[in-house]
Amino acid sequence: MLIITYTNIKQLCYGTYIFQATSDVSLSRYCDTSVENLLFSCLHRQKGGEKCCSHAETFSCSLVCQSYHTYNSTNKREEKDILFKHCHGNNEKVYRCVQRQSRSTRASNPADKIPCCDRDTTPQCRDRCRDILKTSTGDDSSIIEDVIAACGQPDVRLPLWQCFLKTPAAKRNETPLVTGLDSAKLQCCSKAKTSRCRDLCTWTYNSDFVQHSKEFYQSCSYIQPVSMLEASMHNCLTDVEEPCQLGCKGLDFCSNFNYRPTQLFRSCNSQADKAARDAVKAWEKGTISLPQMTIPVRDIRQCKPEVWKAIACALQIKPCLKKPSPLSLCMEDCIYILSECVDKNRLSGHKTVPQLCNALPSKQEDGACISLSQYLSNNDIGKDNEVTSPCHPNPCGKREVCQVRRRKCKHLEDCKPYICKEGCMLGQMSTFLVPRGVYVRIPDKVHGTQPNEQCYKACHCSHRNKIENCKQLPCFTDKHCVIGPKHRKGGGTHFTIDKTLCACHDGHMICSKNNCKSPMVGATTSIISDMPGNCPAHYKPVCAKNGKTYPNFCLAKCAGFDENDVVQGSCSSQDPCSNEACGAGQRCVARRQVCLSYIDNNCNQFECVSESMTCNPHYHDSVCDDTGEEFTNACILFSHERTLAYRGHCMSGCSNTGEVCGHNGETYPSQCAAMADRTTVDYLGECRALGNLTGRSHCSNVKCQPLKPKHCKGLIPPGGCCPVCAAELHALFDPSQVESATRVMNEGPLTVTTVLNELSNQLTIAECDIFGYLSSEGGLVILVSTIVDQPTNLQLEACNSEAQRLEHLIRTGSPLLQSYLTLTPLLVAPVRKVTIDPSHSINESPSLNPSVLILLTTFLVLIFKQRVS
Amino acid sequence: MTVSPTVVWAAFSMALSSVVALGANIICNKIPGMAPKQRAICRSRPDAIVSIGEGAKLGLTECQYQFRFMRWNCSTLDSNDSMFGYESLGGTKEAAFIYAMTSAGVSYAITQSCGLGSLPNCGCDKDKGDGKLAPQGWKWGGCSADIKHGLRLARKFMDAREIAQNARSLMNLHNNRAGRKAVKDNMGTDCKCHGVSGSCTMKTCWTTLPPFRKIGDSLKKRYKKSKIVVPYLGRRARTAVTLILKRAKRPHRKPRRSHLVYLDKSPNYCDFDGKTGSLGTVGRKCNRTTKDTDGCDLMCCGRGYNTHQYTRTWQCNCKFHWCCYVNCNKCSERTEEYTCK
Repeated sequence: MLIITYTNIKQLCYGTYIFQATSDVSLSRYCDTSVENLLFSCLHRQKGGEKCCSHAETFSCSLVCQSYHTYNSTNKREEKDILFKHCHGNNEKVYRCVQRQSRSTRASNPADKIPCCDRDTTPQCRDRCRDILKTSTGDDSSIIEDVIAACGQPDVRLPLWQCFLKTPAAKRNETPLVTGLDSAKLQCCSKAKTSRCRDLCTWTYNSDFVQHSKEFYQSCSYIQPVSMLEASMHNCLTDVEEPCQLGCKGLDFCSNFNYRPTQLFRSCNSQADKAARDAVKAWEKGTISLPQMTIPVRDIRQCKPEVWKAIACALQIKPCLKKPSPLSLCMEDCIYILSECVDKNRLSGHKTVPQLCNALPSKQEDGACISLSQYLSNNDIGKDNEVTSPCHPNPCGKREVCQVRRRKCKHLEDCKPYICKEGCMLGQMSTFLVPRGVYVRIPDKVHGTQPNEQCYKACHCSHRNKIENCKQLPCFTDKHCVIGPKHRKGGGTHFTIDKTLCACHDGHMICSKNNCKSPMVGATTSIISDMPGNCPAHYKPVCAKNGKTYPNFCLAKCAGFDENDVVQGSCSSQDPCSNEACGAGQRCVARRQVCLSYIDNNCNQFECVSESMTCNPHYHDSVCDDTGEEFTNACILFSHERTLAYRGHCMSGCSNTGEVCGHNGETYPSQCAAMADRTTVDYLGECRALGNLTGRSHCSNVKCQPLKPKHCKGLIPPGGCCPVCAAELHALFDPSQVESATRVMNEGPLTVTTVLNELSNQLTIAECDIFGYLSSEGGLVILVSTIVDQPTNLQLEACNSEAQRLEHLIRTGSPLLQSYLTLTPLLVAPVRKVTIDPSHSINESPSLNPSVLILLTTFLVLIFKQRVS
Repeated sequence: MTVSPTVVWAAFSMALSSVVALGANIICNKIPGMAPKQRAICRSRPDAIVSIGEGAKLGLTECQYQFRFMRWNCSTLDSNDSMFGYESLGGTKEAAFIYAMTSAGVSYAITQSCGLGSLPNCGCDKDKGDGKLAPQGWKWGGCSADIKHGLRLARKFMDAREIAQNARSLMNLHNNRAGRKAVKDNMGTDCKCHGVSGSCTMKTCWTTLPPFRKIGDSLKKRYKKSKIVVPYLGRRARTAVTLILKRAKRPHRKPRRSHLVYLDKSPNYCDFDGKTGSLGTVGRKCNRTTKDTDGCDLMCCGRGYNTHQYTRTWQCNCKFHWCCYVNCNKCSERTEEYTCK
């Protein structure tokens, strides 16, 4: 005889499952079949464990496998990852077996199928079916028999039986439904202005491309008829489809577009080149057919062929514009070329040339149109390989993500300048890949309760190259922000108030400067300083609990910390291991980080490293020892009995000795240590000055090092003393999104380094890299700097372009960045470009070609003539 | 009293198998009229069976639409056998059509579900994605309908019941294939041009499923031209090995893959006849004014018709008033309806 009590089950299954169950299932159900089911699944799991774990060939795998099956942890994914780490290679069998097990042990609950009953047309069947599923205690077979008795023989054409046979979407783990057809493009749908286009866009990229794509392309495209209404959605889609890429080379027909390493193009490839050639050939027949207009022309072989070629190429190669518009040519160019070449006899409706061209943007607007004059001649400044983008064209496989390698290889032989990483596609129709291991943010199909509500889920690109383990993120709306009486700003916009950049997100204002106006501790009311919050301009650093050093307590208070949250002295002077936080057999090692959020006080500045000799080789947290050798993690380094020099990858081309002060106001033991932490060096020696806040420098006791190269003018980033030769983005981020991302990832707090590392992956040029820090005033300072020893003007210019590209992607909320969960908090990032002192620059600017001069003069004359008439 | 886990395991191992998924196995075993192989498919892919059922329904509805004016209106005698097999019809043209239509419907529905992402193991056509170049120079992109998967599964399922090695079974297999071919031949291609130049040399294309009506229309044409065949018997076993055209200029000609084939002449479908699967036209509506097949003369086979007079009323001249109600008038009309005697 068997007597099974709950205690037995609890003992058997270690309880967790059953306690969990009470929250999901109502108590009445909990007492009958569901408990049985749980028991079954628990037993099944353990039995399965015995079977699977017997395949293990190594001790560690067998141990991990057994613990996986005994304890039913809530974080299955993490456990499975650990299992994979220990049981791959020879132990692959174990992993596969566990995978199979976990798939088949889903307990089903007959009550889940109750909604199916409502699908039937006859009321008797509906009621009986519901009763059967609610009350039945028998096995599935008898349930089905009862339903058949009530509703007739199963027929797969009837909705009732179809519903019974269908697997509920939530229970499938390997379907394309997780992501939708193209989750990257799906993110653009929220930018649609009309609800019709938003719906069509969502249907097209979510589930039903076949049915809705045609209508979507026709009614929501802005090419024909020209409509600026859906421009922001269209630009977002274009950014995913044809992202702006630096440089263009290898073109045959459009050879004037070659060797332009600092310009951004959308479609520099041989197909576009061929298309341009075809377009010119078609135009030679005497008609220019553009979607916006059809223009009769004289023989273009005789009339300005080089300009026509430039037009055809510009339309196909697509140089990126600051303000994208459907009509990318300039009005001035249009007037010039048409007044020369238009066939007036065939021009219908007595149209004049200015009438044909007036829809186009003018050159006067900065970056609104492609100016043709630069493409009338060859460019050869980029012929030397000063600027390289190893991932363009893509050398990697179909399902691999290419990342630029910016540090030295461990093994010198076969060291390629790029790394191919396996990745996940964001939907089966998508061409956008994210590397394995990252968290992505994808739109959630379950729309919020309010209209205009945007809901997303955060998922993980697992080691099976699948988007899995999605968790809901809090929804947000495009609520307005109220600035003053009768003054409001729309959601998702940004604007400046009192010279301060602010962004409105989900009804909250996020500004680049802290406006703590109330008098602060230590602030002398008699002297009005220009410091934020009227703070005193003295340097007395404090270390806040987010791991950042603030120049004085008042500034820390301004950033939202109170007395309990700070300690005197800079963070680098603190010993995070002083209070023996690690247990026995573990060594405490400092691991300084600056956290963007500090919920639950978990911005730990140390890590506990096992002192035993068994380290986890799959835990990646690079450290560098004092001989310049890199180790995967601190445990491995200590097991080799080495000394830790600094955290991060080993740096080359920097000094390993001598304290330096970084632009973030933190003292580093060496230049290399600062660089490894993605911080640029401000000056040599310990940090000792307030730096440049609110435009005035407080750095009298600091001597700056000369800039490299000398002719670079440089800029002083916020809080720094000395200039740096880099382009600066001052990004605003949304703390609430930081918090939700942190919660979802469950991998400790989101740090500045995590964000910078992810941004660095987005740079395409090998010569540039990302540095940065959290500014005292709250923004994230991102520096795009060259990493070569003596950068040339071209390289500086290329890094400027990269910064420009990032700015555009952040400002427009492009899916290219927003798909990465860690980058979602970034709202807007105005760019300051580095300038090069022209007196030192080598004569590289292309001299004005005589033909261009003629073109310009004729053009001016034309305009003049028109004014007169 | 303590219970060791192993004892408990032994006691419940029987029950475990049913924990996995509620009912799919059991339902599949209970569905009437399925061949053993079909049941196996149903058990292993319950999601696909839903699409297959929808496809069968789609095919039947289209068949009824195509034959709405004919004496045979795509109805069958035995409501139970209307699952996927239509044995009661005999080897007629009509049977040929309904088999082809069902097979086309099933292929169509599976392909459609794949595109919608509601079936595991399939989705967009992988051979036509990821920027692969077509010979004409444009790129494949978007989500091309995975027709290959649809056809493969439809063949596996629909052909699974034709195991009897006789002429009828060969006829059904041939017509099933003709139905699948009709779907394949009617596939369309949609494109989206890139860039602003009007030439559209740079474009992304994807294959699409046509409206099902188009497939119905093309199969109706095939029905009109369907061929009569006779079984060709193998020498030793004396079983039907293939079908050959009955009326051909040269002997031993096989019918084309796209042709619908039949073995027996159709009855006139005027009167009820259980043997041929004819339901008769008693009670069918007809049109008094035309000389077409739906005209009362032809439809009622000369038996005459009944006239019903009635008044039809409907809402008309509706106006919308701000805000928010609608005012309508009532219109009525006397009409007549005719049904065969």
